Amino acid sequence: MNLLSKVPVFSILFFMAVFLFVYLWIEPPLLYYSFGVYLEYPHFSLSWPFLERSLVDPGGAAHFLAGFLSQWFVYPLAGATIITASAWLAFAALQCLFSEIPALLRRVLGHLAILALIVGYNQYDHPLTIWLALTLSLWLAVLYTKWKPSKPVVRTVVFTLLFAAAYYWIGAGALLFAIMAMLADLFDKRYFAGVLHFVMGVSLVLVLGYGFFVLEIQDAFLRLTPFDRTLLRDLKSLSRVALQSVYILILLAFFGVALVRLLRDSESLSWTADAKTETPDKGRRFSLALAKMLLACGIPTVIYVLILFYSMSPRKEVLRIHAFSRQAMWPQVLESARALYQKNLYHPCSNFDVNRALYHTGRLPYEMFAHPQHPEALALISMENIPVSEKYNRICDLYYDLGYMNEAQHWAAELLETRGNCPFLLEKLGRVCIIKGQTEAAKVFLHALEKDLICGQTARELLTGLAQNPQTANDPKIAYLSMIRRKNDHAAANITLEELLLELLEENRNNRMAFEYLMAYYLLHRQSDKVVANLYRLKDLGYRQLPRYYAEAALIYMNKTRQPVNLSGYEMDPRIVAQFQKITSAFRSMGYNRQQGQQALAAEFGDSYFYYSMFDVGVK
Amino acid sequence: MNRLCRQFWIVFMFLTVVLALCLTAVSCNKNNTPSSSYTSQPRPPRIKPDYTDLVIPPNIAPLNFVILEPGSEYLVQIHGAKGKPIVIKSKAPDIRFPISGWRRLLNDNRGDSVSVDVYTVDTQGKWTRYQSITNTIANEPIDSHLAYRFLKPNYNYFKSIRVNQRNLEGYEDSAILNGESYRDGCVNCHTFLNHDPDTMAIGIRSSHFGSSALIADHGDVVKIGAKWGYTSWHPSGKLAVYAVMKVRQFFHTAREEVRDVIDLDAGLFYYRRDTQTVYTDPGIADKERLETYPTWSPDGKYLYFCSAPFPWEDRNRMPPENYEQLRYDLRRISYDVEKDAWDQPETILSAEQTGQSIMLPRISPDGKFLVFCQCDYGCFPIYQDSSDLYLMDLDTRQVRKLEANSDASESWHSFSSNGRWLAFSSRRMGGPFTRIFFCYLDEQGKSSKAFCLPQKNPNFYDACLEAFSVPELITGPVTVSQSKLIRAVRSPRKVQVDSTTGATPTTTTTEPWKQQ
Repeated sequence: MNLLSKVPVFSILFFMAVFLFVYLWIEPPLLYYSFGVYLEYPHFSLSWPFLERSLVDPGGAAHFLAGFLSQWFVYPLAGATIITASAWLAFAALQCLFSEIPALLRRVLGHLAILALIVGYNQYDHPLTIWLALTLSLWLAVLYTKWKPSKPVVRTVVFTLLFAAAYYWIGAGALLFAIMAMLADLFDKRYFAGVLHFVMGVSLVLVLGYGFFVLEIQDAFLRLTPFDRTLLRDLKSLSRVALQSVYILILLAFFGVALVRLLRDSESLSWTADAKTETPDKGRRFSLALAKMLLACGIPTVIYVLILFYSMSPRKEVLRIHAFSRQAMWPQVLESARALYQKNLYHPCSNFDVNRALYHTGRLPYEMFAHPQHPEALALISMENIPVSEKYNRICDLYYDLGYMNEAQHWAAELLETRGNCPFLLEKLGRVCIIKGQTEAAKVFLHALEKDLICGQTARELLTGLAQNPQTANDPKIAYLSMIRRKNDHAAANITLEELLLELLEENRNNRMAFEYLMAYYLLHRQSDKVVANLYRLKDLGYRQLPRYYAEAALIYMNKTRQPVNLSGYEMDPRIVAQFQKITSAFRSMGYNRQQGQQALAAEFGDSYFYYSMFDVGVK
Repeated sequence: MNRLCRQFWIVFMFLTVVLALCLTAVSCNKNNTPSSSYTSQPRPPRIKPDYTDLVIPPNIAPLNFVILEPGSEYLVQIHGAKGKPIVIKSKAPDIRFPISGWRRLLNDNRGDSVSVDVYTVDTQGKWTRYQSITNTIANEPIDSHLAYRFLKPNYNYFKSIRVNQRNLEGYEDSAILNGESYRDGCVNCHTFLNHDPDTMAIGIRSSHFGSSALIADHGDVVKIGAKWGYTSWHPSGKLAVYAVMKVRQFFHTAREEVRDVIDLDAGLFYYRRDTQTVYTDPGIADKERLETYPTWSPDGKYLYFCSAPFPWEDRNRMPPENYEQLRYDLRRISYDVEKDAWDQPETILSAEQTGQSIMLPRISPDGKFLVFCQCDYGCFPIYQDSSDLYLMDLDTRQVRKLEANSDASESWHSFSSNGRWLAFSSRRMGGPFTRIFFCYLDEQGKSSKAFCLPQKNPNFYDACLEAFSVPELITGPVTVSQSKLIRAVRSPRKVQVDSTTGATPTTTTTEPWKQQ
């Protein structure tokens, strides 16, 4: 009632701002599409066995709830609401728990906690499970401290039951509640109860966690706290430190409050100043109120803006590109890539996504050098220092598009084992099995996908299609991939990307993607001779004209060898010839000064293969 | 008092009305049973899983199924010559039998048969009766429990591998050991002494806690500091023979099963419990051959195993050259357990004779039959579509293919303690999802049609992403608790095995399949 009666206008405005920030800036769908690739997948399935499995371990309930809530991040409004509501719940718990301290201090504490959560999301981490555990722990502490059962036995029984239940729901996250309950008892001069509750808390962790649930000792004491090693793996250091700080801060604050209360009781100390205060006149009162309001709004705003600005993650654009790529929204991938370049950022995974988008929009041989390129980013296979799931999810997609179903299946299965039953992996495996003619296996994957809250409909559509047409499930992409898929079997050896693409083309000369990627590979490795040598394949694939970059490579080759080139019946575009003459003469005029040429020619020729070939970069 | 009386009468009247309504509903239902007016379908109904024309154990859990025929209502009656029939009426096509009625019916009709009559009703209320499904109930029960490996079809990485036990007389299923409990470790090669759940060996591999073998014996657990592969207990329980392999995995470019496994090197070793020492013998660890899949004859006098010469020169190259020419012979070697003395190995069935690789020999408890897998090549039949189960009469050495085979891979078979039942892994339900099947073996070694492990939810397998493999039939539940096994895995205490031969396999922290 107390909380409601003080109509928290600022709080309402503040939480509206949090909501808008999450909705407009963080964009929850970016998190949703990161699950299973950039972030641990928060599993949820509409099935009893899943619920049963979730509830066998301490903290399983928190994971289950977080998994359920996380599914809704696919919708921006729902995601923003969930994050804001989670923040509010913790904030409200802190306000109730620290009702004795001045409102300003209380709010500062609440804001600091929310900041930790928002900083986490601003880093594109997903600390929802830990946060839910923290929130529940706080509310249990509120319940325990407000209820104050007077009889020691009742108090102990209440504590034991609450802690045991909390430990089961939120794992060692419940220890926060136990410590606060202990402090509350100690500083209420119930020393015996305090010590007893502390001993009981530790004993319960040992009995339940280590004894009953057979956890390792450190897991028993750290599970679902911000110190949990399994959850920390996925969090970036800033998010980790922010969450750990909140935990420690809350405990310190609670300790401080309890200590002050103890001293106050013994030495008549008070939170409110005893000194008489003069009542200011009306005009001064207004000025004071205005100043207070400005301080109340301005300082937190400045702090928030500064912290959020400095905690901004550069990977937002990478995640956006990835999210569009996952949804096969290729034009949007290319559009988002521009935003990345504007910030002077480059990421090999985005480079990979962009090339895939260019292929799917038919623009790879025309526009790939309008984007920054790294030769290894074309397929990522030999690229080091990329986290496993980010790399192999993409490689899996690439193999799938190329029609190399066994390798797509291999990597999707590896990821399914290590990242769990992510819906996009289930769909990929279902599709691969349909393409390979393994209808029964496809059904297993699709039935599992059917239980996904968000992607269940996709599974139902594919299953319906499969019932009508087991070869293609009425899906044009499956039909195409069934046609071009690799069919010659042998033991896969460690071969280069070039060899692989050549093998795929050998098997099926209509594999357009294998061809364009092979040519892209040659272009990126500046092997214009091999580009020229493969021009004969263009006819098989129905190209009406010689694609721009192939023509440019042919010109470079002709210029280098002074030999005529067989263009397989295609004509050289005179505009390309003119551009070649222009760039070579311009570069000649600069005395072949690479640094000067690179800068001066970027604006006009940056998107050309001529430029890439001369300076090893694509910059426009 | 009056008020109490009135309340009593209200409750009484209410209950009477409810009872009357229930009785009416029941009698209406009875009138609806299609005892006389139905159209007959001259074929059995399509059901899933395929539980038709089977020989089933008298103690098996209810074989629940889904009717794949169209209908708005379904009625199933299961009856035998003796006992009370079970009638299930359902709006859904999922048919689940009550466990007590099912047990009674099967017990009453041991050695006889039961018929399953399926009726469906269409939207106009017209009933159709399908031809009865008849299953025979064997006299001999199957062992009450089954230990099996439960895991996703893994490649290089693994996170969640378990060895579970399932009560075959019901649906209770629990983990014997879950690899997740020791930081996503691997658990494999569970082996029991003479089908006894009290004595088992189980292999574990963990990047954090190391690789070792656990021996659980009547509640006690000992951790052995050596990595055990496929293991077989000597019937006396005095020793266990196990394979040590340099296992490598590679992949295929287009065939249905992507994975393939080859042993680049392998040999057999044995651990004697009395001396806590590992030994080997040239007869079972020939440097020029690969030896694997040991199994003891029930009298403990012979060790049967698979052995092949190396078809490649380079023992490190992956995949090795001529890997598809690797074919194993079936061999045996005589052993005197008291003197700890081995004889010379003899070939029982050569790959040259069969043209295929012989794998996984297992001998029936009466010592009469030997069942093995045959596949085109290699040492890992589960990944080979060509793998089928064959039975050898050990008296006559006659070999024949079991009737229970399918077009898909069959492997990992295990006899029941009475020798009448065979549990095995099969891929017949599609793709990489191995399921467990059972078949009956008569005295002549003829097998019945196989049926899959029944589940309470007959749709269970539809969305089950895990594979079931390495089924081992045991006579009861495993007595050692999972927590005891987990603590043993995590404990640094282990038996450091001494080797008199210098051949004790080292415990490496790297998974062989990850070394690739």
